[in-house]
Amino acid sequence: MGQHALIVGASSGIGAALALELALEGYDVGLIARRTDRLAEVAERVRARGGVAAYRAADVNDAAQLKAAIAALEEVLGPVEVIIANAGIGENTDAANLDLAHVRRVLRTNLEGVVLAIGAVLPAMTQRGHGHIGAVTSIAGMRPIPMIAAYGASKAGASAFLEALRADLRGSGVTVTDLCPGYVKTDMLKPQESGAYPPFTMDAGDTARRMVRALLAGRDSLVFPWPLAWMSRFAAMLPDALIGPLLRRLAPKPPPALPG
Amino acid sequence: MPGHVIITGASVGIGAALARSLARAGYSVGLVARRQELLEALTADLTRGGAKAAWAVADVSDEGSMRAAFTALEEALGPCEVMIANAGILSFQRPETFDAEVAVNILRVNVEGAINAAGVALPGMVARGRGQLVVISSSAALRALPGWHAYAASKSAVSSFFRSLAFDLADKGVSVLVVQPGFVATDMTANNRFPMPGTMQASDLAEGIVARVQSGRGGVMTTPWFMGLALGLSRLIPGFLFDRAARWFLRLGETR
Ligand SMILES: NC(=O)c1ccc[n+]([C@@H]2O[C@H](COP(=O)([O-])OP(=O)(O)OC[C@H]3O[C@@H](n4cnc5c(N)ncnc54)[C@H](OP(=O)(O)O)[C@@H]3O)[C@@H](O)[C@H]2O)c1
Ligand SMILES: NC(=O)c1ccc[n+]([C@@H]2O[C@H](COP(=O)([O-])OP(=O)(O)OC[C@H]3O[C@@H](n4cnc5c(N)ncnc54)[C@H](OP(=O)(O)O)[C@@H]3O)[C@@H](O)[C@H]2O)c1
Repeated sequence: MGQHALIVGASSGIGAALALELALEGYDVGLIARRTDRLAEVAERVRARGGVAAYRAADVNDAAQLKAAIAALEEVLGPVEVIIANAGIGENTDAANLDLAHVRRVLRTNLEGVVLAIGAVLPAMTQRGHGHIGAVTSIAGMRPIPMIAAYGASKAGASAFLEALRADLRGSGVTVTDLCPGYVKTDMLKPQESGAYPPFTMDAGDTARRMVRALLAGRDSLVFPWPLAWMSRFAAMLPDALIGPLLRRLAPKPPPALPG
Repeated sequence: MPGHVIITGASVGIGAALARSLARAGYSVGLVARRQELLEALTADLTRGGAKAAWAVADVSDEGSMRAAFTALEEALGPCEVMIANAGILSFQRPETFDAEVAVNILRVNVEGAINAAGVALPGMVARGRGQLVVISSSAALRALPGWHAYAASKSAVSSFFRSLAFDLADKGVSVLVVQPGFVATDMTANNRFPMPGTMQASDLAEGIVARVQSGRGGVMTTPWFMGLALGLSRLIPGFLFDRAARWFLRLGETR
């Protein structure tokens, strides 16, 4: 029997691809998300390739539910050796009509969700002294940009959380990897009006393959693809006053107001 | 004439120091926190000094509670022209005994709490076409240190959120100031055993922030400047060296 690799947010997109990839690496995969039917499909795909999979439905906004789901999966697949906190939602923030319920939704899924998922396995993993921890953040968290205040904040926060944890765990046998992608073709990423995807858009399968490699190698972070990574690192060093006008020009125009 | 400023987390520490400085500068100050006795005493003190002041109890992490306090203070002191989201909490954890509930609470107060404060003030500011949002983040936003997991996450998120908001609100007449202090001598840091280079007095920090608020300019204010520089440059040091050095540094004093 393989070791338990847990993916939170495993029902579609990058998470589903991560499940297949970790199964190929010989892990028994535990799958968590809200949509049970989609989880069942992913588990079926893993099994069709000769892998082992189990799943439980949980909403990462509900701490008790998430904890119970993780405990149930550990009962079936054993203690979590690898965890990837991947669950996330993408929503734009309308600053001038700030909707606090929207802000809570994004922060509680993308940031609290990461803290809760990792927090549920962290004490036991550190006491055992081995394991791999990862979370899927985003290049959008590397420097504040217009129109996505909540999403950017949630990802910047998640990256900082991982950074602090890594500082604690370095040398302990437990590794912490920040999996920080640019655009990936999934349900989350809407194509532009022309039907085209943004520049450097990656495929979910390739994305997952590279993420799993970085995670199992215990790398500190994987920021990719490299052109976006370097652009973002550079942009992060520039002051807001300089970059503001530029970013506003690059940002997609809001749809024209409906007549009448 | 300077208008009405609301300060969250005004019962002690940086928030209380801000209230005193702002009152001295002629602003009317609305004070928000959970401990009523402290707010009452400070309000009385400021009023005795000739300032206009009022208080309202609220837990900033609860939108309804924050909104009610905001409404009461606007009724008492007029439209809020400056909102200072300052309330915050800090605690350290070890991975072996990590408690997600503690971490989540830090995020709720420091991130959601600050955004709730801004969120209840924004509609009025946008409608009037003028206003100032100020958030007290932290230099911890610049580099996450061992043990500071949730606090670093909260301050990174808060700085990111408000810097992003600043772009969006630029043409709405609302400025956004993100303050990232280093160490300040308050209740929050009173139990820290490690050395805290460049520790500021809350009153000095408050004077600096008020001068910036009076200028009306938004932006990012990291103080003391060398804290920003040091944490920024720390990224040039390989992680395996920096993390071990940081762990050693933060444990200094533990054995004393
Ligand atoms: N696509 C991109 O361009 C891109 C770029 C950078 C980063 N990312 C990040 O990559 C991660 C995966 O996104 P994706 O692109 O693969 O999008 P996706 O296909 O929409 O996948 C999101 C996953 O998260 C789960 N999820 C969302 N909310 C949840 C909740 N409250 N509780 C439990 N699970 C929840 C979803 O499952 P259920 O709906 O079934 O619950 C789904 O499995 C996200 O964190 C996203 O921010 C994506
Ligand atoms: N001290 C430092 O070295 C330092 C450095 C950088 C940044 N900061 C930031 O500066 C801000 C003020 O910190 P401080 O040093 O002045 O700390 P402090 O002396 O502990 O004061 C914190 C204030 O926040 C209030 N507060 C906490 N939780 C609250 C809640 N849920 N609802 C409403 N009010 C709440 C407290 O009032 P009640 O308990 O009465 O509610 C108190 O007035 C914080 O955001 C902190 O992160 C501090």
